[in-house]
Amino acid sequence: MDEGCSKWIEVAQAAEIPEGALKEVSAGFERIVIANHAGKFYAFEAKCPHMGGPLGEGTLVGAQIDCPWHHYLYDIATGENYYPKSVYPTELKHNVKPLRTFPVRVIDGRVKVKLSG
Amino acid sequence: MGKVAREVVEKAGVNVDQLIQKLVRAAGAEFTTYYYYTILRVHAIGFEGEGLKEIIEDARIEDRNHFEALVPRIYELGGEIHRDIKDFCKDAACPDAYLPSNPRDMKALLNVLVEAERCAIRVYTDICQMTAGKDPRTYELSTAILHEEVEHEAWFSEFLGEKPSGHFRRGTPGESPYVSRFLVVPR
Repeated sequence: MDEGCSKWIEVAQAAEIPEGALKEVSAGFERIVIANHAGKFYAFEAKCPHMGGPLGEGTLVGAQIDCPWHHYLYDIATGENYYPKSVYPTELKHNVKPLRTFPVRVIDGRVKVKLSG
Repeated sequence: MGKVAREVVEKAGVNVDQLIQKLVRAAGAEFTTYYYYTILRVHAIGFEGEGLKEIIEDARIEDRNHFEALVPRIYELGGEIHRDIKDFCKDAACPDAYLPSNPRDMKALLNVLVEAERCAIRVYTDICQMTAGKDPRTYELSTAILHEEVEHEAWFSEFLGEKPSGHFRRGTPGESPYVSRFLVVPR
């Protein structure tokens, strides 16, 4: 039985997103990016928390998303900022906001995302 | 602006306004890097800092050269840099290379430097990919800058003990062996 299935939204076909690729989609009122890294799918908000850069136009660097505007790097699984947070002085680290991520699953080749709330 | 210079790039299928935006952000990153590397360089002191001085100085001056080389191309394509320096710095393509919390920690200082160069490599790789086969002038300029940023990363990562960089000292500080031919203003 699919628990809470009303919260899972189908957003793409897995075949549309080859390994290393990104696809920006709508899920309810959210714009979300689906990423395929090493055959596994990840979902995160489409706008960079820094200054709103379009992450759908970014680049996957391993398991991190590189924002095309100011090249902030975020872990696509946890949303944690790697750069510049890893090198910022302590007093500035709190200014670097994490990226919102969403649970993803693939059923019968269909990518579904679970929105919070 | 070069009217035909812009047209040929548009006809090749490049979104010139988007390219200009990337070039302006790249120029902002070079300008701010020159500023922040000045601070990092003056804090490279003591036994551990002594060996870093030369490579920070070379990277600092060469990144300033990159700014100088980018500016004409921005205007050739019909763009401009921000008229307010605060906006220019805020929109820089890479985060500011701040001095670490403990300025005497040379490893932390090196990490700031190496990550800044890695950011620059991503910036110019993106511009190269956008212009390859479509805008030879910007492509050549971006490739030249990319060559030097890759060398900068190699220098700093060698200091972190990652692997040999193949680095030999520059003949003169800030020599810019790849970018110097694009410089309009003498070094």
